[in-house]
Amino acid sequence: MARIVLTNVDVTIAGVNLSDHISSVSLSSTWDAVETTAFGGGNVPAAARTRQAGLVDNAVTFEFHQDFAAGEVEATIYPLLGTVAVIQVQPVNAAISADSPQYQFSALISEWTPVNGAVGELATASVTWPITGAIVKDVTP
Amino acid sequence: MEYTVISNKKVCGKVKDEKLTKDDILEAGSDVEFLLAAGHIKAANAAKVTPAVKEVPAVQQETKFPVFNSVNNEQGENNNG
Repeated sequence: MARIVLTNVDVTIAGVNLSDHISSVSLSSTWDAVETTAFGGGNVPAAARTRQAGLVDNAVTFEFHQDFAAGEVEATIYPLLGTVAVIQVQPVNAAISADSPQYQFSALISEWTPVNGAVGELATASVTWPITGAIVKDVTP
Repeated sequence: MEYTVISNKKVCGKVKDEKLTKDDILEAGSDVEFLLAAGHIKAANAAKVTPAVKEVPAVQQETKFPVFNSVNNEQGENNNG
């Protein structure tokens, strides 16, 4: 598999494809590291901490280009605030396959900055939304 | 019931002027009310409703309503009907 440069990431939020107004995406998963260190027992003392995976915490981060036109970014995201929305992210906009997986999940639309930027800058909105539940990696064509 | 995509965005995998069913929308993890309110779709038969709305003013014109005499500001009757 070749390295890829992200040029055509496909992002769908609540059924609406907003890819042409998103310039950055990051999907992250972090497991709690639950410590299980105990005394060694017998003649072998504990020498190092031991851990096992606990709960996973998933999140997604987007940078949007703000657009107040009908059917664009603001009209789509603002009504979703405070709700859980189904999101699909596919790194390469192509048929779903092992080489082009699609990540599917539900995120809590917990923050939004409808107005953000300085004079002369592009109006953007950078958000990090916590994911509720697991991320499904779909590789089925 | 069918819906037509009116947004410039791809909605539930369909582009502008293509049709969607409620099942298509639910299967894509979206919601009909949300897509209607956000201006992404409209009911496919929405155009048929328009003539019925236009007929309402015609009915209202036939009803009598009080008019005021512009000279002495007394209420009179509408003799046009």
